[in-house]
Amino acid sequence: MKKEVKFEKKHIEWLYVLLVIGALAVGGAAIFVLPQQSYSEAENRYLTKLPRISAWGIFSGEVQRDLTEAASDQFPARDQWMQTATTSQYLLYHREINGVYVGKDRYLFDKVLNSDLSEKNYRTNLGYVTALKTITDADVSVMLIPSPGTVMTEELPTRAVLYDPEPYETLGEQLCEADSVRWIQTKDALERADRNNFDDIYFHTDHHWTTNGAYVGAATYLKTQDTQIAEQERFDVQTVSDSFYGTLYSKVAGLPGVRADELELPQTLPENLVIESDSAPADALSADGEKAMPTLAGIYDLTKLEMKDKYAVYFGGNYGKITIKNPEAEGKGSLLIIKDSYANSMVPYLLDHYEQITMIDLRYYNESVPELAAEGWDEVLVCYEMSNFIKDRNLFKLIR
Amino acid sequence: MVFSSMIFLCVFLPIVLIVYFVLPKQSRNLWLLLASLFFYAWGEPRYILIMLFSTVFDYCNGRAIEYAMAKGKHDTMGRAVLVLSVAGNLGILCFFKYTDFALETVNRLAGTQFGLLQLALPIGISFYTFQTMSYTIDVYRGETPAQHNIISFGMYVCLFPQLIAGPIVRYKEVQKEVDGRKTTISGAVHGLQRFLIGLAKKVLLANQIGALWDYIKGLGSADMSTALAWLGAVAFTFQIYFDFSGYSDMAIGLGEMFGFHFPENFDHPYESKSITEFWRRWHITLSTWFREYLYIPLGGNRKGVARQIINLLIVWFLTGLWHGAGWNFILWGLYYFVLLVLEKFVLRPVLERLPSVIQHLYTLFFVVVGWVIFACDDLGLLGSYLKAMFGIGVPAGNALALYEWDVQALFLVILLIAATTIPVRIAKQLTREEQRSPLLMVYTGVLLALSLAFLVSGSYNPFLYFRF
Repeated sequence: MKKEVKFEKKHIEWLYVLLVIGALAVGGAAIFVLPQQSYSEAENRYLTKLPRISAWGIFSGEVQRDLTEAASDQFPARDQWMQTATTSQYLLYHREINGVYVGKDRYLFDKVLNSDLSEKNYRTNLGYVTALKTITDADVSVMLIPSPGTVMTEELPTRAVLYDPEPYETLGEQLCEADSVRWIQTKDALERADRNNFDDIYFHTDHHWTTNGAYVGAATYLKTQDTQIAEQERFDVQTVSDSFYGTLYSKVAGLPGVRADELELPQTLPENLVIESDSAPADALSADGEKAMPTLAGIYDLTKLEMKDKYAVYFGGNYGKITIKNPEAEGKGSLLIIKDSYANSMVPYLLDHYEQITMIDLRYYNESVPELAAEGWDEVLVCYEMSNFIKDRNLFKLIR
Repeated sequence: MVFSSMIFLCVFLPIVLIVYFVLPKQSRNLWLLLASLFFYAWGEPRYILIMLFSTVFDYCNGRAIEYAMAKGKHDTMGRAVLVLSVAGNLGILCFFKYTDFALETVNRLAGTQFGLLQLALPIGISFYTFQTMSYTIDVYRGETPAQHNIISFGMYVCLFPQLIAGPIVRYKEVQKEVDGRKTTISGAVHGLQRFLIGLAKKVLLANQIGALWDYIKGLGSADMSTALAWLGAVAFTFQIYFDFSGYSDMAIGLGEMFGFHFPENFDHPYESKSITEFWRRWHITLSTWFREYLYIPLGGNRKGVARQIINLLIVWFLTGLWHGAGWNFILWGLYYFVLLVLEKFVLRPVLERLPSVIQHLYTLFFVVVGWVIFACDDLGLLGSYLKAMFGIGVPAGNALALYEWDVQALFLVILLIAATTIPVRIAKQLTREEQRSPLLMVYTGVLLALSLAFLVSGSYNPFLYFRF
């Protein structure tokens, strides 16, 4: 009897060792046997593939480095493993994953703190903007859209901290008005819209504002130009995708319980728009991670709705320079927008009021901005998300 | 290669283990040697030459000392070879680890412009040079016979489990097992479980809390407060313990699977009631090494108090320097020298009469401050960080501190418990003897799954932190 018990224990021990080592070995074999993945939708990044073996590569250690990375990038059921990791972090009461706050109702926010921002860089950037005023006779405005978390404070995790936008607002207003540049504050209007509106003004899973936020932005801007925007109903805003998982979602690597955003687009737009761009959108990727060819027929590129970054539906992504002409608005003036991607969703609401709108994105625009700015614009608008503007390192191009 | 990588866990380890157990006993040392060389060459193929040189050099030295002793020339030729061996090992270590540090110091003090070598530090060099030195010294002392089989000796020097982060295994401790060892399935199970627990310590605890330290260390003065500085210091205190002791667990566990019994390296050091006790329970094999091969030969405490203090100063200066070529490490060593001397000659009688809670707090306070010195290799950062910890120039608390303490509280409690003997004691209370083995199997299985999850997702985690 006693002997039998001992025998059983040994069996269990063998089973345990074989199971653990066997499972590891199967996982290891799968790395090499399963088809290689080149792109991770969930994380929105390229994956390392198994390297080509070469004598020099081994000697320099490059092959080993790539193999080490590939072993984890090509590991079977990668997305499920990542979900397990983020879920356990969440259960540990961590409300921050990879620099993203997981707020109430799984609202996601970029964690930007005071010490991530430099007042010096902010002053420098505003200096470049006010310098524009000396080149152009146009009406120059600066509109910095509040970071989502600074408006949706109720949705942040309990006690979570973000940078304080107040000093930047005050300083911005001061510096702009000293140089006759218009400072446009959108925070109050956005907060009002957030309180009174059923719809979200910022996405839950993406760092952008929604079409509703963009409408408030457009209305605020137009008001400073003594123009009244039409009621939002007039634009016939329709949901075009209910499965939008944005950039912030990529950073929390598939945290369960995060609901997809709805992406809505205003459908009633001026007809016969003419669109001219300098090249393909600089940062747009197609599903297989290759550079996309321009396919723009209207201001929306609906093929982007099939892809991961659905916000690129506006114009198909960010261009160095893109011009939209509206023949119906002849004689209504021209607008030059110097911007980040926040402006893309606002432009549809501005189309009725300008004969020509040109957007330039300084990350990708490498021609002379002073020359462009001197071309006789009626209005120039600098429109960025606030923390993005404070950190931006490309605004020097405004005076180059 | 590091243990906490998919390539080690899923490719290297299964292959090495399976082949090891398929091979006949007499080929196993050769297999372990080859596997270890491969393991070492993975990161920096060129530096394998240094290790091969070390191996051959000390193999010959061992044989030469043995020959000298047989010929009755222990004190002449034997001693000469020993000096050669120690000088050779220290020479390699100093050349790769300290040349640039010395040149920089000279440049700064004398205003010279010596070019730096900019050599990458060969992985584990601090560990294996100490191991090979222990071998020739012990042969010289007649405490162990010289190894005649160069493959067996090479396997001892290069053995991958403890190669890169200890424990520092002295040759005489494993000499019998180098020549012949027994592997059992129970030993393999025990070793595997030990390995998995170590892996979990490293991946689930150290890496996660390490991210917090990295993040707080990097905060600008606009967001800093005393409460945050302490949270960061506590985070690093946990990180270094779970990282290092996790690595030791993995090494000891791997060794056990192959039939070795390596010495323990950590014994719940944060439970200590004095700094002296802390150093008896932290990185035990290093302290043992310094005691056996430096402190005692210097005369230890046998030559009067003044000499003892000088001996301690030498030992702790070198202990600090051993941890890294930087002034903060020297400072850290001297910090412990001062604390230990104070404790030995002044504080001990006072301390022992205090309630044990106070003794624990006293120890932890100085250990945590010590880790800040250890962690800040930039003296500017060290200064500003220590100032923040003691409330100079920053507010006592701020909203960010409140938030971070709040979200980290649960994890900190888990870390604190995991660093003590409480889990083992609870497990013993709650379970019966015969339940423990299957429960431990399930438990380590879950730990492995979680560790894999964090390793896979860590491949895009910018905070992933490898110390060794």
